Order: sequence, then structure tokens, then C-alpha cells
Amino acid sequence: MNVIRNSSRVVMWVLVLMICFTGCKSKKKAAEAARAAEERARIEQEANLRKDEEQKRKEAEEAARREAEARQQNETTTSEPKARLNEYFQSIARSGNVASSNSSINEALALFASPDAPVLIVISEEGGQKDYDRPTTISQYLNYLKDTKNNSNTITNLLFDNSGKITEVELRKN
Amino acid sequence: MVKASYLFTLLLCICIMGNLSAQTAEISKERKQAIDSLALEKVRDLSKYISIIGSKGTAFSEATRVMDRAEELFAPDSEMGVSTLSSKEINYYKVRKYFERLMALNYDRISITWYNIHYISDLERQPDGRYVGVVTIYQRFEGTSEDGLMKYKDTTKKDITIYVERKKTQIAGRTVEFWDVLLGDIRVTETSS
Repeated sequence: MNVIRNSSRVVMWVLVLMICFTGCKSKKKAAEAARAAEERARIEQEANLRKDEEQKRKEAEEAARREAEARQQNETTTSEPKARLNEYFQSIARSGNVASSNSSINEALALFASPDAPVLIVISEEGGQKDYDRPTTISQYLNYLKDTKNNSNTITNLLFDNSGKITEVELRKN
Repeated sequence: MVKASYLFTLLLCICIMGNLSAQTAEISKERKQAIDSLALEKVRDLSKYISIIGSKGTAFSEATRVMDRAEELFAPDSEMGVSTLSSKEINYYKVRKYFERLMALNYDRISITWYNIHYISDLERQPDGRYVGVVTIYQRFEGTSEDGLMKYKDTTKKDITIYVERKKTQIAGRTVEFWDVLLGDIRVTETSS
């Protein structure tokens, strides 16, 4: 009788142990599965993040490239007339005879909307405030270069009309 | 008592206004330097114009154009002093008249050079807001005829009064402030050979 009772007790304990063991194993498996799923989700999230960042970087690069191109285009548009005008200034001031100077003056005036286009000469600048010499016109300024041979001012800004003609010049005394 | 407090308030207001006025009138050293340089440049420009006007190689139309530009450098009614070695007398002509006489001189070759151009009295602010100073120059004049029979040379020292004033004008619909440099009378102080 005792043997039967003891053996059934053992069996019961074995069963309990088995259930526990199985339970633990299942829990462990479930935990592992959960961890794996978590890891997968984390990896996926990181991959998505990287993808987003890569996309943003590419877009920023593209925008910067477009901006640089636009800036270069703008500089070419304004620097070319500036360079040409500067060449005329030098040619007029260096010219040894009146006829040659007058010819250069007429060519230079073709860049302008009018021979009366204003010329502003900055003599000093402080705290954003510019001090100007008496304003003149481009026609008078070109003749001034011819008469005085004084080409010491630098072209700092040109304004244009819709047809690309210069409407105003700003120079700076050196 | 009321009168005293009124007087005190009035005095205080005058002091404050005077101080404010002094503060707004001052310009920085750098701006003043730029104005000084600008004025000297106008004197040098005049010397080049005089040289062109006096040169017998200058075409009449060019000389007339340059006379117009030279006249614009001067304040209205300014006069130029002219001297000669043969007389102690100094004659003064309105600047336009001086240029016309210069152009009509009876030499075949004329050379006029200005040198040693410098301030003898710095530009100083006046009560009316203008800056006034004096620049001195030395002028070397040489006139010769083609046959060599007529020859005249002299060196004169002249003092030029300079006026600088802050003005406004309209450019493309906006107000632009600028420093207007105007030359005044040019007085002869010395004449030598």
C-alpha cells in the first residue's frame, strides 16, 4: 500500500516537475522568441532610420548642388558685364589718344540702358552707412577717366534692367 | 520760487540740446579722412583739367567740355588769381573767364603743372555744418612759341579754399546723401621765376 502511495507521489512529483520544466522551457522559448522579435524590430527600425537619413542627405546634397549651380549662374551673369566694364575703364584711362578713348567710351555706353545711368562712388562705409561722392552719370564718369587717367575706383555693384542693360553702377574708392 | 525753477528747467534743456547737437555733429576719424582725401582729389582733378584746357593740342569741342566739368568743381562766383613776373598786380577772374583766357593764350605750346598739393588748414566743421579748409598748390607755367622767340616761365603759389557740405539728391526714386566738395577762390600768394 505504502509503495503504491509512494510511487504515485513520485509520479505526481515527476509530473509536476515535468510541467514546470516544460513551462519554463516554454517561457524561455517564448522569451527568446520575444527577444528575437524585438531584435528584428530594432534592426528593422535602425535600417529604416538609416534609409531615411540617407534619403535626407541625398536630398540636401541635391539642393546644395542646385543652389551652387544657381549661384554660379548668377555670378556669371553679373561678373561678365562687370569684367567687361572694368576692361573698358582700364582701356579708356590708359589710352594715349582722344579718338581711341572716345571709341572705347562709345562701346562701353552700349552696355547701359542710358548714358545718364547714375554712378555712385562710395568714399567710406561705417556701420552699414555709406558715404558717397557727388553722384554722376556713366557718360560723365567715362569722360572723367579719359581726362584724368584716374582709374582707382573698384566696381562693387551693377543694377540691370529686364533686357540686361546696366541701369546703375556703384564704385568704391580704393 | 516759480521763476527760479522755470529758469533752471530752461537752462537744463539748453544744456541737453547743446550736448545732443555736438554729439550728432561729430563724424569718425575714418570718415573725416575719406572726406579730406576726396577734397584733395578734386584739386588734383582741377589741375588735370587746367592742363587739358591750356594745351594747344586739345580740340575746341574737347576743351569746352572739359571747361564745363572744371567749372562744376567750383562754388558759384569763385575767382582765380592770375599773376605775372612783370607786374606786382594780381588779377582775379571768374573761373569760366579764366579758362577761356587760358585757352586763348598766344603760345604754340603751353605746359601747366600743379605740384606739392597739401592742406595748410585742415577741413573744420563750421557752425552752419559745412567743412572749410585751405589747400595750397605750386603751379609751374611754361609757354613757348614755335619760333622760340616767345618764352615765359613762372612758378606761383596759390591757396584754394575748400568747402565740403552734406547734401541729398534723388537717384532712381530713392534719397541718396553725399559729400559735396566745392572749390572756392584761388588766391595767389607768391610768384617767382
